[in-house]
Amino acid sequence: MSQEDSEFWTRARRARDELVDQFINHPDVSLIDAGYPPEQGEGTEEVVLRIHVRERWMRAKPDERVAFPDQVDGIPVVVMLGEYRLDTDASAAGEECNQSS
Amino acid sequence: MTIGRKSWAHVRLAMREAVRGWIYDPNVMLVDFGWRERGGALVEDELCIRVHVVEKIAPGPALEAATQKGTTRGPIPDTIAGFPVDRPQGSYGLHQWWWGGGWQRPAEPRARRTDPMQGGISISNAYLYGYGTLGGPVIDRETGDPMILSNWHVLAGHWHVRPGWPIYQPGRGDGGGHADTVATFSRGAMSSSLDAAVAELTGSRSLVNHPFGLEPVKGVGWAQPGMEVIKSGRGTDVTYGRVTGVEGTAVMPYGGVYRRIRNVMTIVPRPGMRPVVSAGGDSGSFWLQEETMHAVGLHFAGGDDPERALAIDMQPILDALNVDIAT
Repeated sequence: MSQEDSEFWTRARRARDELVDQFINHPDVSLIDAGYPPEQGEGTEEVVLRIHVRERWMRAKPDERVAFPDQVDGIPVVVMLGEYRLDTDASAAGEECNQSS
Repeated sequence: MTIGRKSWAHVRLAMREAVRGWIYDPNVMLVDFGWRERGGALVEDELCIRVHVVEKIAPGPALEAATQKGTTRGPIPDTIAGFPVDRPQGSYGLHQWWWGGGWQRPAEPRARRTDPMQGGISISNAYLYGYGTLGGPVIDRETGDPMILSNWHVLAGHWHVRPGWPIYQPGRGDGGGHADTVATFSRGAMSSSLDAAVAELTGSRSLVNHPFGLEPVKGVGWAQPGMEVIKSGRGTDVTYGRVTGVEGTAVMPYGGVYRRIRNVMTIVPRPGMRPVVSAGGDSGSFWLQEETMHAVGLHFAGGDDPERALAIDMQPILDALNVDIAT
């Protein structure tokens, strides 16, 4: 990894940590990472900070939902749809998985 | 005919209205979105909301009588939330394997009792009514003993888990039972915000480093954006992906408790390959860099729209569990 890459990733991790501290506990946020913007085509390799949000954030009006920064430490922030579930198949026997504490 | 991302948002909203209105109708078994049926054939350029009815009841006196009798709530409309509605006939039942039905070898090879065991096959703890994937063999750094690596929510899944809990292969959802105990839960890494765990083999069956349908694992690596990866899982077999995100922190519900999971990578389908990367049952699969067959991630979650897989960096998992990948 070149020094430039190394310095970028150090900044990116720090910026990601800032976003995680601020937003990971918000109910509309499912994941915060660094990577390609979702609409990026092949061959373009810009890495940005990504905030994955649930569908209700995408559907809400701008003034009714939490606002995210456009950039952190010069690294662009993009918001993208991300609804995720654990990938066991707990429906095979027609009963719900009991994972209660 | 394709639907854009914004249109899928409208479809989902309409589907919610359709389900709310009709899923509890006694004559309805399924509400979905798909191609219209006409004359027994699917019309592939007509997408609509489909309310599957057990019995087709003609409008008029027959429908009125059925409504009065309680067989149905009433006529299903021609449109819901602006989408056309079809009413195909369909009656469905659970595909459970049960003792009274006699033993039948599962058609899906990954769902079978397997010896020697390998990555990519069905597994679960004794209390999970379902299955995940046996990721692969690892070696305990202290004892040198072989162990099974998979997700915590596959090998444990309960906050009161104790070492010694039985692990079944195949998983319980594939018909596994007490006689299929192959390992016992040893330790997990959820306290390190990693959904991973290992189990000690009982010795009843062996475990090889050769994921189902793939070449052997050759080592460990770190995922980078753009990396082309491959996995073998119980849910979707062999799938091909491309890493588009790394250094992620996710929040996921575990038994109603939201927990942070760190070191998360995002994987999307590779252009030109299958459009799916993961589904239920794939939890615990190893994601491997296709070029080197180095394990880079442990699959644990996914999303359908858009289609994405979530995995956890492998090296932090190995360090947290004090194991090494078996090669």
